Amino acid sequence: MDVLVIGGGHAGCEAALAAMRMGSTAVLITHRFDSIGVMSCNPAIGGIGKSHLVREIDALDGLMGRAADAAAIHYRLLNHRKGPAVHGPRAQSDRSLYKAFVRNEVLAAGLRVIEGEVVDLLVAGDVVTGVLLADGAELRARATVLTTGTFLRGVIHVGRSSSSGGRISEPAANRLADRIRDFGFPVGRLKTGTPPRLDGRTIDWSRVTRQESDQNPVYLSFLSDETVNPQIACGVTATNGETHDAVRRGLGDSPLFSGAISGTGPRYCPSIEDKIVRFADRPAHQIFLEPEGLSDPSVYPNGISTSLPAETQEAMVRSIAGLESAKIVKYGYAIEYDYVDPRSLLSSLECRVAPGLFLAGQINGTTGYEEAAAQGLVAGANAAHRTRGEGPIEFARSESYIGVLIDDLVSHGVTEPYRMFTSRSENRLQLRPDNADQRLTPLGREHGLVGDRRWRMFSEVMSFLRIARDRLESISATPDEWAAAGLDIRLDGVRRTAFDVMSRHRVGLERIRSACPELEALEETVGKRLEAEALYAPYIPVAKARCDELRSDLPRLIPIDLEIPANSGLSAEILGKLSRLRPRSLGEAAAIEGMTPAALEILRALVVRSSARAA
Amino acid sequence: MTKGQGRCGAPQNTIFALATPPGRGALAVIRISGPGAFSGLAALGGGAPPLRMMALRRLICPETAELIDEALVVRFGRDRSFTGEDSVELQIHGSRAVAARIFRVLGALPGFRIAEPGEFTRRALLAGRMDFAQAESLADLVDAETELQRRQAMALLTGELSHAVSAWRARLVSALAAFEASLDFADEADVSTDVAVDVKPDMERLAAEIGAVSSGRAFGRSLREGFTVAIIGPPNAGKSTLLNHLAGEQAAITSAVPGTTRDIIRVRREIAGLPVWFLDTAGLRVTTDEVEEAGVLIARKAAAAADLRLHVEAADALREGEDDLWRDGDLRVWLKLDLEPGPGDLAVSARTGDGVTALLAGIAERLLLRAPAGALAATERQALRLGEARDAVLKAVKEDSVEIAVEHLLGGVRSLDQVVGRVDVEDVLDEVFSRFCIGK
Repeated sequence: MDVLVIGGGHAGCEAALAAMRMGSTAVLITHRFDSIGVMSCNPAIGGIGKSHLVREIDALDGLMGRAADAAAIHYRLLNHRKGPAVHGPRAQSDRSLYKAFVRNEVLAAGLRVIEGEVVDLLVAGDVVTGVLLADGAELRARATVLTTGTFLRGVIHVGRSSSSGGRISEPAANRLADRIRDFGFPVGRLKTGTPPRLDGRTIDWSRVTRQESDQNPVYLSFLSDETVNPQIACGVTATNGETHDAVRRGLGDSPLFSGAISGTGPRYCPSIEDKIVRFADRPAHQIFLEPEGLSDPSVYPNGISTSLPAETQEAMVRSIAGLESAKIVKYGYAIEYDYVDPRSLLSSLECRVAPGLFLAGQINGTTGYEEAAAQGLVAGANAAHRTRGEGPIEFARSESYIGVLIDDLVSHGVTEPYRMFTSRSENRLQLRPDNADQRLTPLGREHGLVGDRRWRMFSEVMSFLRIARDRLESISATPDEWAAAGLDIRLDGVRRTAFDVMSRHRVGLERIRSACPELEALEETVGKRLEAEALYAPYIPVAKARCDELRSDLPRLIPIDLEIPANSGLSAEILGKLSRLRPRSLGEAAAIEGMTPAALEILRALVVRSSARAA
Repeated sequence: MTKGQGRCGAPQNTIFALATPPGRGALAVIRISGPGAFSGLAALGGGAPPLRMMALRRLICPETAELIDEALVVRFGRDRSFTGEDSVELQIHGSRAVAARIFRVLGALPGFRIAEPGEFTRRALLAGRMDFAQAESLADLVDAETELQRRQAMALLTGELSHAVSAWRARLVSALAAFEASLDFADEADVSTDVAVDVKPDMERLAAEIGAVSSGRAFGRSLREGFTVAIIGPPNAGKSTLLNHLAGEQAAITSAVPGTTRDIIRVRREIAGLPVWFLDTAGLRVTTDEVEEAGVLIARKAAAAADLRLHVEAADALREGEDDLWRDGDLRVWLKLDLEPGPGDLAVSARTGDGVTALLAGIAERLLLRAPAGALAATERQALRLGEARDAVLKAVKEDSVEIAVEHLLGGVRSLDQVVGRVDVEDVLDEVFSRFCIGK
């Protein structure tokens, strides 16, 4: 067999299917067949930065975008008032529809799924050659992809009680975690959390603000052209003083504050207790009530992730407008798990010290379905490549968010669960959701990831784009003529093409269409893409140059083995603090009390030099 | 990943160079820095004095056992040296032959070589002993000719500009955080999406502050390169006579024939610590002589570009075409006090020198007024980057499209970073998370 994939989450499914698209044989091992395609946290795909990843996965003919559209019950384009580079299409999913879609795809692809617990890795020399199951079965493959999510030494916390588990009511993978530590991988602990789930039938919807699904939804997949499910509204409510009092009363039993949790949680997805402690002066925090399905009464209250004790969760929920008599179906919890420092990986996501073993998803310190799926695709494709003896598939950070994600992980590591933001890309104006296919589908096709159907559609769209662009470039007029056509642009006497006018004078699609009758036939999505191209065209060369310059980006993380020479010029006091507190980044070092700008400069210089040596 | 930074892997050479100007002098200083510095001293037979204690040593040629020189020797441990490396300084007698002989001995030692220009400073920089702005200003300090230049270079060296840039950068990063938060966390109740209202006023102030230093740089540049004071006025008003008096020698040909001065003649004087170039220009008049006319054009151009103009009054002045050269703060002077009193802010006798001291004081006072209040010194390169940073911030303020405004701000941060240090996305995200409560 070619590729073994451990784990049936977003990373695992993309990995297995990517390997199969490339012609490899693959087997997926999971605790339970039934948990394939489960959305273990919030029931939504996409958003700002994340939708960029989904579109890229889709451009490589991956699963996630299509699954999201197949299961969508509420669409919302985040940032719709801002420019196309930062648009964030988001789809809330019906959990059961999502799972069903993923399962059908897995079955349709002919992927073999084995139920079992992986307890060890098989090795020959330092090459990983397969896995050992708890029942003693040995499975061998030329490449193994581990996508264990939060299962490695997973510990679930609710109030003062904690128990071993990989997700609620699913066992953790402790034996495998021990083996991974034995292998000598640098392992750390991270933490994430989830809110209590509510019974939607017990929510007073009249007391919360309704948020409707978008009228003209933006789909996650390039292949989607219609809304397949009935669309439902979400609710918006907020915490209040009473909620905050309830939370404060429960802090004594919070595993976050009692020290029971040592792992670092994500700052951008803090628990409600975190928010109330850190931002004590905020009178309220917004909560989105997201139904989890068309026929599922359960509701996900987005914004109150918590690991407070059950009775505190009850009191907290009851204090919120609309939730006064809401019934909690499942309590919120925090989960701590092992992750492997991704700096131990190559950009193919293959372990440097264990050839044949690829890691993808939360095991690499990321959070989020989209981040996991993107890594799964990269790991699966590279695993397939390895079985054929081919080199890694490179995703440049100037070309894709997938490239940004991989490069950030393997060169800088993580200090908290890593999530994609558009600000992570130096080339944001170019890496847009609208042109992900242009950027990646040809690459995917070249490596066999992109099937015929998508390739046909892509080629067609590209020819439309070329024709439309040619037309915009062929229409030209003097400023007077443009003014006569209804565009009040600056009269500088220079003859300009329609594309130039769009670009230099920020004339949008609608206005250029009304000024040029010959553009009437210009199709909307094609026109929108050209509008984005025109808008950003003047800025992209500068951004690209900066991006190239940052290829040699200074490391922001302090290497674990940073040597500080005796003559560094750092005072004994600072040295003491550095060795005691072991800051992982210059940011953390800067936060150390007594750290002077001069000391920070020295530290920065040391980090630069140490990475220069490593290069 | 970090291409272009390498070359640090090999063990460092030990470098040496004369730290004083080459040639004859009472003393010369040879500086040695690097891992072999102490063994270099040993090779010269100079026993090691305690660290940072100066001692007299006989320097011996290891080959011939000849005495090369008696020198004062001081050793610095790497923790207390300029370069952050073991260092030795030899104060030898200022003879080329002595220095050359010592160089021969040191150059023959394994791993020793003559330092490249600026290499000591570069090593100090790499060792984290100073930042870029400080390193740059060090070169200025060495070149300082006048007291004010020295003070300005010291201000740079002690890191005043670095501090200011750090503070600006922090504000820029804070603005970037607001912009980025409004892009990446648009759906969060805690994040304002109207960065224009929240951040732009401070950005405008920031641009003004950066701009002030960038243009205050004009003063700083003049401090180093000299201020220019153009003496302008009608022909035969005594301009060249004044210049000659200032120069203390015959710098310009003077005659009673109007139109004698056709090229620009420059004389350098130090006034109250300020280096000043006086420019004697062709008398400004309408002329039919082509050569003189060309001279007048050059004079007008130079006068317009000068830091200050002395408008020389003449009783029977041909004044046409002169007024557009008047700038606020210029001086009107009468130069023929020895002949008769005349109009103007100051009266001087160019011939006898009466009143020249008062004139010079008046010039110094006016030039010093140009120094920006609490001026931060900047080198030419730094001023250029600061100017870019200011322009970028202004563009960002004017831009409606937030994601494009961010591009401008990033450009601004980059320009500031080219003055000192750097920033990256983690800095911005840190700022975002410390200010906004984000997360549903």
